[in-house]
Amino acid sequence: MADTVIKIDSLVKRYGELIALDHLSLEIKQGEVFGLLGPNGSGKTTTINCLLSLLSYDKGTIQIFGKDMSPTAYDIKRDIGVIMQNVAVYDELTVQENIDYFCGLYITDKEQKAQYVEDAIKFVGLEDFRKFRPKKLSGGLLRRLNIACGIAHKPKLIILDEPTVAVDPQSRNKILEGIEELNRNGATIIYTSHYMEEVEQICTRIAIMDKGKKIAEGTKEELTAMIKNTETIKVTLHELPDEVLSEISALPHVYSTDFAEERLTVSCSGGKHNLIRVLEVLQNHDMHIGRVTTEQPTLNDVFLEITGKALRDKEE
Amino acid sequence: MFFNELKYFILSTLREKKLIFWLILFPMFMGTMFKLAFNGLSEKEFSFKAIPTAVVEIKENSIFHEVVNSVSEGDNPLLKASFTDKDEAEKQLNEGDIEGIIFVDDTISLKVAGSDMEETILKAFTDRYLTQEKLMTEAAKKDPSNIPAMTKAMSEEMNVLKEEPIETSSNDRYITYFYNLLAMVALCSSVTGLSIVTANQADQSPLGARKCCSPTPKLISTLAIMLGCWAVSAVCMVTTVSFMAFVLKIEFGSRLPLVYAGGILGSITGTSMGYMIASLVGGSTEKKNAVAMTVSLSGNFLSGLMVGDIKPLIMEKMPLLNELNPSAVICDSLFYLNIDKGYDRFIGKMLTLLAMTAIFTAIGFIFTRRKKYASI
Repeated sequence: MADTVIKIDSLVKRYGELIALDHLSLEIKQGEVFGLLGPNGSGKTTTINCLLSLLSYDKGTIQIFGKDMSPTAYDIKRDIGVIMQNVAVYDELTVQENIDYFCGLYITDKEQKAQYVEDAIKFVGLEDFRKFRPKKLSGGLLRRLNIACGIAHKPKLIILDEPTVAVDPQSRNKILEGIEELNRNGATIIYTSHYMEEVEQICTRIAIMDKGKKIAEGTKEELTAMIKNTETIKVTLHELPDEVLSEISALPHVYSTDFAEERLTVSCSGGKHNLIRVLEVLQNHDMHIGRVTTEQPTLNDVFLEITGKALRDKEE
Repeated sequence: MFFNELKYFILSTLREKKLIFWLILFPMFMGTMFKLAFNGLSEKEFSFKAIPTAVVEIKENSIFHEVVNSVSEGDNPLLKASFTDKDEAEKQLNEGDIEGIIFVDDTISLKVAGSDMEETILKAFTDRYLTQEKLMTEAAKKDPSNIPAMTKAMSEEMNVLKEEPIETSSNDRYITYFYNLLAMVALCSSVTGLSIVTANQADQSPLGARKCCSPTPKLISTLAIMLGCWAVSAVCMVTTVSFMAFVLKIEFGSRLPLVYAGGILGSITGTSMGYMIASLVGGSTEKKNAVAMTVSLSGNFLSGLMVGDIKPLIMEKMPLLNELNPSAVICDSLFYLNIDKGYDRFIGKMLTLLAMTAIFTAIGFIFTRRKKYASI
């Protein structure tokens, strides 16, 4: 069994009357890419800040690398890399100077530091921008600099708090690929996001949070297996008589049907060959079948089913 | 870790355009404006005139009487003395006909109406007499025939007073505005001092939060940034003094190195004041900035940067305020350096600035040490 890198036990954090974290417990193993998924205000960033001892908390314990975490636990901090939601670099220093400065907070050996800085610049692809000041960089490049400053000292544990907010798709892909590479190189990753696609793409294990509580935890497969919906079939049709819709609703494993705007949506729970059965019914009634798709449940479906609301705000 | 912090703090601060404007370019501009404005008012053609003084003899003092007569004679006398009674002397002083009244009683005392050069000379005159009176009295007792020779010698020494202030200082009384400008540079350094807190506290900035995640102890980081602030403000002060001394040709007298030293210590006091303000004032960096600038400019106002007459008024009504206002202390230290032959009052003001620096730093340290954040 892999070593436990982080162990959070019954963490409680209050802001006056508001309970930001409600007896949160997590265990993260070495080599994992652990995703903290939840809507804005669910407690992800508060969890990270408590984890890093940036915030005091009311109750609970936090252990990192088997030791109690505290503001003066410098031996623990030495092996942690942090990439915060807000870009934290000096506007007056160049790309290279910024990375050199932040690396210097961890590494004292000059030669080693110089090598690490060079590696970090190459890793995030900022070789051509090393003399640029942050204000001259685009949003995506700035995020890459932010990441380079956090990982230049080659930490064993990397915490990324929504690192892709307001980033263009190209830079986002580059960042996600980089995270996967860091993980392949041996780092344990904690990744918070409210973008479920990102979490689904890179995380090996996921905790879903809402209102300061962990509402579900597991691999993507384990999470989707928790819910009733296992398959959603969508068929484009010009028309669908009510008796045909009733026949489809009566099929085994079908628990919900809907026809609107020339599209039939059938939600199934478990079972096999659901699509074939639905198509057979439609053919038997000489329906003109258009586009057919089937969808596996997403983390949003998991969140929707557990909490009764969508994971992301509509405008996002 | 210390030198890494120090190096990049200095580098980033010196590249901060806003700071360079307020601490170097703006004082240079103001200094140039002062120079242009005061050029026509220069007192370079200053010539000494005998100081109108009333002497009220409550008790007889033949030696002092002789000395006063001696320094009131000749082509270029020190005093224009008139022996009169107390009421008449008070009336003349109130009407501005004389600069001061010397009372001759068991001891010699002085009453003046202002604090200009003439009053300073009168004070020096009575002080010097008092320090030598005992020696002269004892010598006269032993051999009364020595009295004329001693009186003459003392009169000659007293006459030197009218030359000393001119020789050891600039004739330009508007130089106090330049002292105030240097005090402004010193106190505006408080803005750099804010960084000691804002760049180090997790609840102040994303940079502070990132640094709090690192294994660099906060004490090391604080000390490095503090030293960096002192260095940056010292560079700004040296640049400003050099510009005034060598480009604007402001006469700081023969003690320019000590003007640099006084200015640098003033800047260090200013940054420490910023550190204290940042630790005491909650909220955003912008709010701390606004408070620091308000406190600094208020101090400058009270020391006479904007209205020259405000300082004598405060000296008269609330003298303690002048002792507690860093800007006034900096101005006074430079003023004393210019007019005093000795260093006592200058050193006194330097010690006051050192004490202020220690107190400000201690308060800043106490209020930021091991701070835990309930929210960031």
